[in-house]
Amino acid sequence: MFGKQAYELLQEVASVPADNLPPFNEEAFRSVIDEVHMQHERLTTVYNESRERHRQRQEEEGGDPEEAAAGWQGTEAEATELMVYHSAILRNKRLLFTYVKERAERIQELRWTHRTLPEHVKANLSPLEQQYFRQYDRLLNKYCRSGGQGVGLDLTADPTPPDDPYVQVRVLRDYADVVFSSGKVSLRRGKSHWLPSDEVHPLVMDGVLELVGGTGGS
Amino acid sequence: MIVTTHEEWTDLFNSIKSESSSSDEKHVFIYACASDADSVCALRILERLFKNERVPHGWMAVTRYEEIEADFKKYYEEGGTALRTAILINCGAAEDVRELLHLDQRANVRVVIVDSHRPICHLNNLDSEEDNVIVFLDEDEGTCKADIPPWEDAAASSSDDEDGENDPPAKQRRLGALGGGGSPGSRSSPREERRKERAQAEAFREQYYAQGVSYGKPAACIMYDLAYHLGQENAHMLWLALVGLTDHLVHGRISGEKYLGYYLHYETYVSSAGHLDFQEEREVVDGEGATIRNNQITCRIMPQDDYRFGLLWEWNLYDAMLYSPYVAARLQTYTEKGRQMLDLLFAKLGIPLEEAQRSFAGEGYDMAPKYRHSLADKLAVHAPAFRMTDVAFKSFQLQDGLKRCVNAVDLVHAVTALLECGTRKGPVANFGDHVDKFWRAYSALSWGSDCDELRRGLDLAKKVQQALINDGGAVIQQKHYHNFKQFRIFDLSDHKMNSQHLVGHPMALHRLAAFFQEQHYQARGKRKPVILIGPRGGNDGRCLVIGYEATQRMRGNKLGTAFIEATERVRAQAWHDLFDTCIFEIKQEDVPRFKEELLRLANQLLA
Repeated sequence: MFGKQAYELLQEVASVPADNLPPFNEEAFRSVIDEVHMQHERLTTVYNESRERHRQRQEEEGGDPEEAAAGWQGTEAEATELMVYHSAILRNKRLLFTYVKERAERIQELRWTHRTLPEHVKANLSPLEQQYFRQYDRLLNKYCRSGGQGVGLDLTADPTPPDDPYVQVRVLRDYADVVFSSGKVSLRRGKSHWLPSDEVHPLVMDGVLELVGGTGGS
Repeated sequence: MIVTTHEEWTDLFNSIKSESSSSDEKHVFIYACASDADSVCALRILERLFKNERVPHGWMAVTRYEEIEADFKKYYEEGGTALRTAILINCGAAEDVRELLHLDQRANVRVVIVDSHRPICHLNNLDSEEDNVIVFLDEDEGTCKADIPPWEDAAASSSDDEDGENDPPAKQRRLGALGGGGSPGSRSSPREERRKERAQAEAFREQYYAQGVSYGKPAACIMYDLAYHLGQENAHMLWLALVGLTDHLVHGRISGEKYLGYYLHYETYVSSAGHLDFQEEREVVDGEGATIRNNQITCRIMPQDDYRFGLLWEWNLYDAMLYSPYVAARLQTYTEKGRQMLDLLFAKLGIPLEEAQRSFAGEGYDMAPKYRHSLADKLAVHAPAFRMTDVAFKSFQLQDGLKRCVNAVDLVHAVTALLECGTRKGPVANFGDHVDKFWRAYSALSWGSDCDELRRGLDLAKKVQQALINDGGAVIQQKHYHNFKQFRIFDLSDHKMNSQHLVGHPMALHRLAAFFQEQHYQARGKRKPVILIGPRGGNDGRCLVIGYEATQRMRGNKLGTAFIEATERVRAQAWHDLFDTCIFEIKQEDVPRFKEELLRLANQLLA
């Protein structure tokens, strides 16, 4: 079946958890490419044969062979065959691209979450992928450094920045005065405050404060 | 200092912002009056502004000055150095805040007042950049800064040794208005001249306070204007401003023409910025990343004519009319005869009673659309015969797709009900639990994440309306009132109301008083001020007293002054510390003496 091998290749990656990678399956990769070559060969032969037949028909009917060469006019069955080969090639190509892209993205993701490649992943990479990782690593380091083109901030420290550094809280019970980075705040029941979200978190856990939703609108 | 121009407003806001970011104590604290919907709206707008500018802030709902004072004492240390700002919403303008919050010892604290209570206390009107009391005033509302007597120089008054009373508190000064103007001497020496000037200033002040208590521009509208001039307004803020405005209309704090003026003003904003669409972001699988999908208008503000029967859109036509003070005052629907009149009106309108009792705009078995659509025209033809000439007025509606829509008037009723009514189990007139009620009202106004509070508020509001007419009608039929030349007193201090837990609150009693006045006007053709002594509250034996005078004639309410005078003369135990001078609490035992004294004062006062 066309595309089956490539599909199974992709399945290999998809079945592994996101922070891991299976070995780069060079063998399967090559055999998919072979399949594409085979399909391409078939495609060209079918096309040429069909053209040949068409030309002969034209001659038998006493038409002008030059005129026939201008365009291809095959039968319906021939057209279908061509289409099947063509889409099979496209599909295989796409599956291979996805395979490579998914692996590259996981490698990138590992750079963001783990900073370096874990040993068991590193062993599974192809030489090209290892090179990709090194170059990506260099680029990101350059971007995070201060100076020239860098932002001067380690962006990998918190990959999902909070929506808002501040949150609105409702005070559920009387509590002592607390000094936040924004100043001293007296926490008395029924008051509302707008405070730095990382600092209120322990108090929310204690049940002193309650987060007030309502981000929509005003 | 009183700030009147837009530049001053935005400068003030920007200076609060920059001070907060440079100070160690970054928090700007807001004290919001917990008694009206307008405050909740203003608070929400102001909060959004602070959030946009990343100014750390907090707020607290308060019902009386004691609470602000106590919190101030705890939170703002005397003699602190870090610059800080406190904001008062719908409280403070009519009082000498400097004295009340001991600002002399807290030079680092600036108090900003956004208040619709008028008159503005002249002690807040100090023309100096360094002043730490700042009052917002929009001169378009009819009061100019020049109309307010200036805070006179402390040095000048102390140099005048003959005048013993140096800066009496605002309350006494208001009472001074009763005593009649001072008589300026006619001799002319430098000192005499100074005295003459002072006498003039005194007379000016007396005249100013003699206008009585009234209301200015709703706080929510002022906040919206501030946002507009900061270039940060959005449709949600606009909606909140409209709700604040409607709150003033529903509770008779604004005259009809004034409302129309504001209405026309805001209508232009509504047509240009009334859409509340959120741009919906969606990942598109086979395209070029995220695209913005925004193909239909889902949520918008619409101008909409509303009827004077509140809650119609959430109720059915029959009940909405039966239990609306507007109809009840004209048809006496609390009597059998009145109900027949109402049935007759329905007959004239061509609406079967059965249809009228179906929900007006709900889903399922609601009123047939043909009746709903023709209602406006039919009412315009037939209602005047039932003395309902101005049955429709211009208002706004918020539509959220096809799911739900709510009218500004209904929202005001719902929020007010949430602010006032506790559960039947809880203490009836307890002011301690106002924080929870305020939170409910606060979340009811957050469109989208209101946790169903809005629905509950609307249901509660219907009950309040019913209670208002049932109990109010009973009071009128049992003739629980005294009719005097200048005013009428409804003394319910020893009267038992069926739904006291719904009605026994300032705003609801306010509406009840308005209903009594309107009823009397329809029956006798005379509009008299109404003094309503509410039923005895829970455990402490206090009664709420409401002085109501319609604002239609653009005259202030002078009853507040009379209340203070009367309670002081009979040495009654009274608490004047609610934010409105026309509402106060009195011990039940003192009610008879208070009434007598009030009568004695009446001739002098309300002439």
